Amino acid sequence: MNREAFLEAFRLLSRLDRELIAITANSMHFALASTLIAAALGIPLGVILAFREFPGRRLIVAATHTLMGLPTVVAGLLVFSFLSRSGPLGWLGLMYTPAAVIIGQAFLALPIVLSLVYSGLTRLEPELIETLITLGATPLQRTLKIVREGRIVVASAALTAFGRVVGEVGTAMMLGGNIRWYTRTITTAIALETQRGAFALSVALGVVLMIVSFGVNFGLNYMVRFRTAP
Amino acid sequence: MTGLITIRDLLFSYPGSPPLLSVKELSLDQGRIAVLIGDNGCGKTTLLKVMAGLLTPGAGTVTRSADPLVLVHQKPSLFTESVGANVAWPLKIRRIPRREIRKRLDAALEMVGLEHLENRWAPSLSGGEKQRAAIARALILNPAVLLLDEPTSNIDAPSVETIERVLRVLAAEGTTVIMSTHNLASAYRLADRLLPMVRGSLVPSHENVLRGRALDPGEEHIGRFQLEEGPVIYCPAARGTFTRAVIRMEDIILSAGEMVSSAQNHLAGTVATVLAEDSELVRIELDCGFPLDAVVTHRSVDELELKRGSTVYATFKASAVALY
Repeated sequence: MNREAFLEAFRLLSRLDRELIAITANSMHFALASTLIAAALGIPLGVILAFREFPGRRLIVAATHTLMGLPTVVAGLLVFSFLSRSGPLGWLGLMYTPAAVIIGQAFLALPIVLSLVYSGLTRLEPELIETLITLGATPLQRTLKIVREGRIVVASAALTAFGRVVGEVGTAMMLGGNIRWYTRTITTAIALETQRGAFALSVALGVVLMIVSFGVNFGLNYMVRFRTAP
Repeated sequence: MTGLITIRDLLFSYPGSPPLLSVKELSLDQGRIAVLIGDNGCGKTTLLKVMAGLLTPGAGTVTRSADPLVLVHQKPSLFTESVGANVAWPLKIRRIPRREIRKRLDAALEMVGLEHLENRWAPSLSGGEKQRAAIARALILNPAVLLLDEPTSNIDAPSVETIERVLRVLAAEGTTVIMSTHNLASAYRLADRLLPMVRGSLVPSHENVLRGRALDPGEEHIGRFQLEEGPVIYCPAARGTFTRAVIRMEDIILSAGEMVSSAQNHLAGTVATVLAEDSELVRIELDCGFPLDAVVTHRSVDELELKRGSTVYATFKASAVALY
């Protein structure tokens, strides 16, 4: 890698190179879609887990905590075995499409959202749920109010999940296949283009990814501070 | 008269723990204020939650013939939104028309003296204001029964005064109020009925709480208290507004004839009821023109031959009277 590559990288960034933008857009698209799916499933499940007593609850909580650290390639492998031509869902023809990447990343994001929503909501005032009951709220009205009261918790859970999937490479590579203009993401591009000597693009993408990561962390920090404010 | 809430043979415990509550019988009447008093951990909060239906008893029955029935927790648990949005919420989820919500919101806020804070962010209120907002959020539903857990603890004096006034107004309008408190002065001022609790059970109150007003002592060293339905009794001299005289039942001496003693208060009365409390003590309910209870031993009952209709004299020192 030489000085020339760095200069070229900043040239790519400064003139908003078309391919650079397309790859970044793919990454954002996949991460946002998978986070949304994970949030749609994980928030209501987290509320149920936090406030409903049912057999097996402890086990589910423990399993969810464990799955937060699921290696990305294992998630990729799992989804791969379902979506590949010979797999049970092979007939859908989803392998090496954006949909496959989104499904894989949703698998990574779900335990994060679920676990953080659960642990955040259990730390809300225990009187809150009793207050909602005594004021005559229906179960649905209670759930909506709890999510509203825990909005910072819920938003930071989603942001954490987004941060994890936007920077992961395992499932995006295995399920998307790094197809140019189609499923190539920031991480797969960096991993593969570097080997082919396309340093400039890799460096430029690396800068973009770092800006995104810093942004996510800055957002999380801001929310934590807001949460602990008097 | 059957009560709005009736409890019979209630037992409550958390799984794997010794019984926390054991209440043989309790019946609460409409439009009255009942005040639970007792040490920390004696089960006041648990009893309120059982009455509110938030906890299910292990045995016994709780009958509620009142709706709605709302519990205001010790921690006000306001939502993170404006005061107005908080107070209006119970009506909003019931799809009450907006104009009616407006009307009832104004009335509820005015009642607790928060009308000027309607648009304030609830988490920024002071402790007393939060408690008042939580009470407004409950009373906007026009509850038949209002349960309150320590509504006057750890808050500023003006808020305590406001809350006591609100509870009196609600009771006068027919709401049954049941509250717990540590604040004995507040309990004496409010209670139509005192419910002392010891280790999860209701025990008979050993205090006479008499309504009336303290007369200005002027230059005297001894004070006088005009009972609402009876004579004037002597009490310590104190300036200020006092509406309750509290006399411990153990401090009342009963005698067959009039006693000559240093005690200032001598009242003639008739025995209305003789009630054995346990193997040691007997409660004597007297009619002295107003109801007055004394607690004596079984031995004294035998010696004085106390029975329904006997004439006795009740004697107590002025200093045995506490004013609230």
